[in-house]
Amino acid sequence: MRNNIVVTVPACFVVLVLAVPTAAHHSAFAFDTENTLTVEGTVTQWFWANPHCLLEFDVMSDSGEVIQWVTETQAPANMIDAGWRKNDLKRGDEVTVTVQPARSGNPVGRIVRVEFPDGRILDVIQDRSGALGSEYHLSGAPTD
Amino acid sequence: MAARFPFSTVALVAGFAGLLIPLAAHSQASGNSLTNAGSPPRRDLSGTWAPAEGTRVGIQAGGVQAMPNDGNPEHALPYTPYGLEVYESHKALEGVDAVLPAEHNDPRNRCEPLGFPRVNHYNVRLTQIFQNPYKIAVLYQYDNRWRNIWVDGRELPEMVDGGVIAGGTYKASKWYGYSVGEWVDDYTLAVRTVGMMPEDRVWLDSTGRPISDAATIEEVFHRVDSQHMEWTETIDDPKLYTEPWVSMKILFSLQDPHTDIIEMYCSPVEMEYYYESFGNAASGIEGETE
Repeated sequence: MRNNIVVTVPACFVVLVLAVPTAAHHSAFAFDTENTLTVEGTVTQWFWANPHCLLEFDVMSDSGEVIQWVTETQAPANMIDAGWRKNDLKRGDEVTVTVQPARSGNPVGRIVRVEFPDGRILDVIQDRSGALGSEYHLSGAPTD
Repeated sequence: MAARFPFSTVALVAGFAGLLIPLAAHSQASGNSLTNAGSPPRRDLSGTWAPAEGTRVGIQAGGVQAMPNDGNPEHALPYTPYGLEVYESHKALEGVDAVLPAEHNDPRNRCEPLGFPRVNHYNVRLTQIFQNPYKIAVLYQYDNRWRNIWVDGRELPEMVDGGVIAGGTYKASKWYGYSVGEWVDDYTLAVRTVGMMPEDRVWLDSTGRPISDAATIEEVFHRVDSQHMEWTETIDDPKLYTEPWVSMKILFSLQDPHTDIIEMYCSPVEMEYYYESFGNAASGIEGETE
């Protein structure tokens, strides 16, 4: 795996960020909602459960240390409505993840976007107007 | 019998008529309604319902829908001194007084039953209603919880310490209380609920607002048309609040009867893992992501 932390991006995800807390299980103040952080890693677990699904992955630091990240999305009910399946992510998958990082400095965050090698993108969108609207959207077709 | 229900409560339905018309049009335009709206069936709430304006309306993460806990003075609740004391003892994860994920004491996060009326304010998504001439069953999506509303003409139980007297018999407090409804007209069911759990077992909402076993909850289910129902809730809890206040006014749209509802259980094992692996680390507690 190449670089660990790709870039910190202030403000450019403002519209997306606004949608994040609406179905949160907790307040947003534990997270830096003004900036995003993008990291690349290898999936260790896709925890499909309430209250929120967790994407866990390992990131190799420049010093060769493995950093274990834990990031959250939404409840399975929301994810299914957005087109997700329980086994969409598997251990060993390579992912690029953009998060609102925790203010604590620990490797945790709220997912803004996940990019997969097969071309799919999971990102935050404004709530759809339908009764089963969701805040995450899966786009792009698998390449294989 | 209808006179038992305060006029103000039932009048809420008429008061929101102007709001309902555009909302109904919006819902249909979004493709959530089955067919063109027409006259609703008489004395019939049955069906699968969802918040007409989208899921977030029913999730109510920021507090009860009509009075979010957002710091707006217009949303300040009329606490009694004891009510404020109970509120301040609650360490919620949402709302203006939210604490870090590792510091909460919300019973929700131990998968305790939400109880009534919090079940009306937590992840209210697809909601099924079944009825017969004796009772109406409300089945909530979250945690597969349900409650009955008796419509067989019985009186509302009398609240006593630790429970109610119903039909001359003592019955202990229940998580989801004792609900009795009556049809105010062919399209409006007024419901009162008493006999819920005390304030040391349940919360009102996810921002830590309290509710007590002295509460009487008034709900009005009003069929707006064949595709829509307005669900209103008023809280009268003299132990915690100095006056009754309206906590919810949500328009629901009827869903396809073939809709299969996704499970949304609260699993203690999953909840514990979530907080150990994510919540604690987000709160700055070291060594919890290993």
